[in-house]
Amino acid sequence: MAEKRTVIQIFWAALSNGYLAGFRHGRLYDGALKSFCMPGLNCYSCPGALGACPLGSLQSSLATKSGVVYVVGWLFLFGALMGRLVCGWLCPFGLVQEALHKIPLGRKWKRLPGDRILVWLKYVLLALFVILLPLFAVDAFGLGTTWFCKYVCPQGTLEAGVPLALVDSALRSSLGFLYRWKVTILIVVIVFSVFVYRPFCRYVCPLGAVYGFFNKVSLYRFEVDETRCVHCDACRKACPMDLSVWKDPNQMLCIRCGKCKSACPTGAITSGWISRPVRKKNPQRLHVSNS
Amino acid sequence: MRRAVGYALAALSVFLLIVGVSLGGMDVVWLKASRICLECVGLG
Repeated sequence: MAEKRTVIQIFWAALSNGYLAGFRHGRLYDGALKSFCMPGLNCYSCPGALGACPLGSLQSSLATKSGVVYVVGWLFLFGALMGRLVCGWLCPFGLVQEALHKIPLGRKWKRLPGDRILVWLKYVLLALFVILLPLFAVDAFGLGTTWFCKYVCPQGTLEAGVPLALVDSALRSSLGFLYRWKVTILIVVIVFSVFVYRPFCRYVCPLGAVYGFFNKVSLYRFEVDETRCVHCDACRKACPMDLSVWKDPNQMLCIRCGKCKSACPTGAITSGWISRPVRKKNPQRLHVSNS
Repeated sequence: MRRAVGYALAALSVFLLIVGVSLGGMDVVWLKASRICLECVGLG
């Protein structure tokens, strides 16, 4: 399962950034595909990007007060179909963090101290930097800016800032404080990723926060067969996000990597696009309630 | 019940996409995504 997921992650990251000529010339792809949003966090200013970042598009559309319905439609589509399956399987920045976490260096952590408070940070960033500030902090022409992209997003720095600065000397000469600030954030995320599993996804990513809202209702979902579950918590030990899957198989933090399914000794955890009815522990009681 | 909500949201998303396309959303996204975003790069 893990190998299959890694292959799909690499394939999708390569496909999302398949305009190789862009890396050589420092030019962006400007074909028709750029009208479509990609599911994961993939900066549209990456020279190789073939599609648009849904989070950047959302901020941009809110800042200009145009195209909001279209971008929200994409977010709802990806969310309703997959939830955070996108994070676990299709997000290029998730792949980067996982690769960094594989570096055999120091002790590996699933959570940071203060985790209970820190997990709320992504919702604050979503409300403030992705929605409210682009919408209401406007200039004389009534236009806002993409606050999360501008001040926080390390994926933009990794995929767009660094490659473009390397090949474009004019751009390189104009870089200043903001660039250094964003590179600092990227370095912090890289360092943390070596020791903590996907710290950006767990604590910072507003796109993951959006998809997390859909986890409980998305068409792809996890289920626990209560007649087979022995509550051994093996799923939690295997879960890189440190979740007790048997208590709630579709928690907002779950990125649906599927490691719990492989770890479950009784095979009680299943996942799929069309959910099967879960057998309850007391079928007689279920029968009474149905009659 | 949750599956029904999932289907309803998927249907709503298709509706939003159709409305969004008719309102010119594709052009708005293309315009932003096909040029270098100075904010993303760190120049904004």
